[in-house]
Amino acid sequence: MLKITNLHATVADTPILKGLNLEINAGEVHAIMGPNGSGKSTLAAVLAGRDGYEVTAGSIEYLGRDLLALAVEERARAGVFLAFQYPVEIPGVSNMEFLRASLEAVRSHRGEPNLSAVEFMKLARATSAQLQLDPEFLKRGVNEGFSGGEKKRNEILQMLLLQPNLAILDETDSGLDIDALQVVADGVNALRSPERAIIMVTHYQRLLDYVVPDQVHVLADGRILRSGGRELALELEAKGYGWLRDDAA
Amino acid sequence: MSKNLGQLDRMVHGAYEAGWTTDIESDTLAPGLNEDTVRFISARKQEPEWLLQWRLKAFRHWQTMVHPEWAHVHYPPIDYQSISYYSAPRRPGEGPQSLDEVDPELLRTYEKLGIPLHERAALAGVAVDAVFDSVSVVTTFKDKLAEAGVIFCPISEAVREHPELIRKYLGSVVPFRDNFFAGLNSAVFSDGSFVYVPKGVRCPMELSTYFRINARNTGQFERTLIVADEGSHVSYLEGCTAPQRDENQLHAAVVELIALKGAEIKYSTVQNWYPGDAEGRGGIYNFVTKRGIAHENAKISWTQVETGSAITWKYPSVILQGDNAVGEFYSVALTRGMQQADTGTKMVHVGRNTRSTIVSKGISAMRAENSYRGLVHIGAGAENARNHTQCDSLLIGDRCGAHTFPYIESRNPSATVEHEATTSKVGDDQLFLCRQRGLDPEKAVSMIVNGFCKQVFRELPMEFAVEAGKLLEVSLEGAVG
Amino acid sequence: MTTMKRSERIEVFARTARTRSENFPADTGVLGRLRAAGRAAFSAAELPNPKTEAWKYSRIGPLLEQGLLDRAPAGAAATARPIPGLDVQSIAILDGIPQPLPTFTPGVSVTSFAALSGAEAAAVETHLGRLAAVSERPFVALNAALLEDGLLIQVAPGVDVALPIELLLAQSDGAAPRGVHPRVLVIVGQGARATLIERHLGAAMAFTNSVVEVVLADGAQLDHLRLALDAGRGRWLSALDVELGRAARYHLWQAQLGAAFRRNEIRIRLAGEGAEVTVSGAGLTRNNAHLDNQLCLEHRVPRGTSTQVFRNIAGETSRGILNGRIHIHRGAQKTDAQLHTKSLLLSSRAEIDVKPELEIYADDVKCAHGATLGQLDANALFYLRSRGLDETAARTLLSFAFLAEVVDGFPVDAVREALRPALAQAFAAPAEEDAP
Repeated sequence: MLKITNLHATVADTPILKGLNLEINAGEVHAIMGPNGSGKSTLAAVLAGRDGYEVTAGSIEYLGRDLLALAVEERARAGVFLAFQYPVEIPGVSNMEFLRASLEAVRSHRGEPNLSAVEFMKLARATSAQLQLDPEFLKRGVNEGFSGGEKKRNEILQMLLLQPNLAILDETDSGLDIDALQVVADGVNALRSPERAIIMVTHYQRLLDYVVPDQVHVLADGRILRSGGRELALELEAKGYGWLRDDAA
Repeated sequence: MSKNLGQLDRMVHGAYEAGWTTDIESDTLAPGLNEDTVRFISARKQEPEWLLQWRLKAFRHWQTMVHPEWAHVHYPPIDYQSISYYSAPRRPGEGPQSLDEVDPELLRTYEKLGIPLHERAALAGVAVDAVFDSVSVVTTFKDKLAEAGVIFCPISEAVREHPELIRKYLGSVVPFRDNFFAGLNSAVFSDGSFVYVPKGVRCPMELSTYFRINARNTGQFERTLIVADEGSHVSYLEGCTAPQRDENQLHAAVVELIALKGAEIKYSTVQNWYPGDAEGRGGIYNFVTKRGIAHENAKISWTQVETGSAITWKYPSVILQGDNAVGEFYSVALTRGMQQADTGTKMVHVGRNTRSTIVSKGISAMRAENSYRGLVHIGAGAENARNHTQCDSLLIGDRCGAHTFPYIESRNPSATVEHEATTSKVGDDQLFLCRQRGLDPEKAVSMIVNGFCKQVFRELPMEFAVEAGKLLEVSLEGAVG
Repeated sequence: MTTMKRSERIEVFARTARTRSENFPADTGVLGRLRAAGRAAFSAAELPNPKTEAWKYSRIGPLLEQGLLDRAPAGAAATARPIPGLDVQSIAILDGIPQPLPTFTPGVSVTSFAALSGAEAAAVETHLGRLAAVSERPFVALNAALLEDGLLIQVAPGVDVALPIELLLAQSDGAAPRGVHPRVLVIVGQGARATLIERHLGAAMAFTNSVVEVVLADGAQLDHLRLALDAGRGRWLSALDVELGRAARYHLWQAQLGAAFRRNEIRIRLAGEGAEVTVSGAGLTRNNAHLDNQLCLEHRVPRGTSTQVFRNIAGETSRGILNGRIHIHRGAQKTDAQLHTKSLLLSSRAEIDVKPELEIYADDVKCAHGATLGQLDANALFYLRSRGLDETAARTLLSFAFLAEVVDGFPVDAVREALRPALAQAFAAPAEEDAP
């Protein structure tokens, strides 16, 4: 589904990604771990097409297409979803209004008919209930005055509604207590299917207890330093990132 | 429902490039302004002597006044002698004969706004009679108002039918000495609406100029007077979301509201006069004086959505005269292209326990200039007066300007005034979030801007609010990028 | 005697000023040229009238009284009252007359305009009248037109001056009405750092029309304290024009009591990227005093920050005015500019006028202002009274605390220490029935 080849990217002329290679197939869940500043969030931002992240070399192929040639919203409509590390507030725009506009944009791209207001409401309510969010929450401004945990659950809510092909979760687990983590993980697991792929960017292996990955990659200094199975994450937890670097050196 | 068909005759499809285009016909006064002009207007309207004398006094005073220079707007000097101050109602046969003759660009805008076909014709100034095929609706409407005792008619008619009310209230809130444009209006006002709601009556429906037949050709110097007697309630809607064309470049209207003890007046405006072309040529100069006086326990609420006109100069105000009076001002002003707006309000607290709320949202795009100017004055006797002002500006692009000029004056130690102003732009991260969820940039911007304005939109009557949202969306097209 | 009509008084004032300026001997030096420019500008200018926007809340009546353009008699000298415990190097202009200069710490030089030479002359040539242009404000023009001498204060590049520099503008008590027009140019060199304590002293009926220009080179820092703690009959009109270079820092701290007329016209221009400005102002007016602060923060280039905080209290029949304008020029992206002001009215015959303004021509900026007018917290009042304070004492204490929010941030310990009793005394003084 996703093939990243020799990816180099800079932020404000500072090289962050330095030759990253990664391949993810449909049905797989990959975890990307690494120390602060290793380029994890940069990778997520580059995949989504955020301004200010410049790809200087390499390619990204997504479902057989050149992902980098697509505008942000085109990637979204083609099924690339980014759950933000720091979800953005949009005052005055209700969550409901936003979700509906977004869902319509994505569905109409897929050639699916728009949901009626009633159908949409039903779906939105059911999905919020699944994430243990009060339906009142749909009427509030997008992320406006939400707690950290609510913001993260709101991201998952959007993900479940939009049903993406490729979901990228950028440190969605940070700042969540155990109960909230469980709810978020249930949401992610609900999305797992043979047609979809999920990338979880995380700093801690804790999330991986709840969403078990098929592969774990360690990112350091802009490159994948090592890949392995679930056990790699546990090893990291025990030994920290230092031994990998020493190893590599 | 809320399209202002009453003004249809004014909306001709005119070539603004030519500037002051006034057809000089037998029934139209030649350009120029002197006492004879004032006498002519008064005579043509068959006005009583006292009103003529009032106009003349206003005119004489106006001649001593100087054109205001303090607003943050720039335009070439206006030659008041080059304007025609009277033209008789338009007859069928003038103007475009069918929609085929109308500027396709204008029609596309109507389509985007979802304006019904027959209304499009009216708005574009096509001379058709068919727009009033809903005469029965109007009749029902009039019957209902009459039953409630509400008077709603052209002010010229009220001068004849209800002289005691006009004499008592005309100029009582906005005296002709008030300012240059109010002085001019008082001398030469063409026509406008008059509303009287009797004691204790809740007006059975929202009053819109839409229903006011005979409102044709109210002209560029419109005069509106609304009197809500004790304990009454009225909601008045003015304007239209569709871009309105007018052959007259200068508009100097006066609106006076009187809310007697315990009365409530809600006045909503959507203003979308022709803003001029991309280079700022043509476009309406909208210099309006709107003010209300709220007596004891009365409430006056102004809500405005201003998207049109080349220049907007207006400060709908409330004099909180009586104890416990309430004043509100909710405003969205959007400027784009070369538009300039200097708009805000004055809340003058005189009575005890008076309260006022100001919410102003200014959006500036392209090369436009948008200023909020507001006064909160707390008089020495205004014990426990309260004001809260929230004044936010949104800039779209780096060639526009957004300004805030609040004046806060207090003479009472028990008063509380809170003023906050912020400036922001449509955030890159907000845009990114919307686009990452599949929205195109224009849709994203209009959604964010609508969110920014929500506090004001929710004060509008329902159908106006929906239209206002749409209006912003259409107005923002091409402003982003 | 004020039986003349306003227009006549203005005419007499303007004519007297012109005549006085014309009486200066011809001079082609920098002073002479500034005088000539000032004279021309003053003659062409219209004095502020009630419709002049910048003077909306200040009437010039108190400045038009007879004798306020007279020179102080030679030899008249006010006394400088030192701040207890404050160690400074002091420059005094007493009754308009610069006093003999002491020696200064290394890196600080102070020269009267009359004694300029070499690089100093060049610096004055470059900067004098550049920030405070004669064309824009009639009283700045008047200062130039009647300029007798002035002072150049320079801090050499890279020097960190530990000992504060004190600038005293003092008017002696009890003398006949008179007017003085002090002029100071401060240049802080690249990377240099200094503290300037400017004090306005005197309660006599005298007109002090000062103009201070401050130029901060790249990376320079100045802590500027301005204290005016004498109420009374003084007429103080003070123009302060500041320009900051790249990454320069300017911190202004004002603590002022109102007087018969006190108006500060402060313009701060961020002309180099990354410059930083903070302004903290505390104002108290009592009886029929007048205190007007007019500020304009001009962000001309990107990445500047400015923060302004004000506290004002007005009692009896006094008037406190604040006009705080933030002007973001086109292209000054990434600016962060904030202004917050709180005011308290203590009497229904007093008046507070606040006008925070934003004028913004750049979109990627963070700008906000907030203004509140209110009263003392009723709960706090009740709490104090329940602990035995009478209402007046409780109110005084809380009002004082209101100003202390700003005053406690002042950077020089001895100044902070001196401010508390000075303000407490200003609060405690009984209201005057009839004002000067």
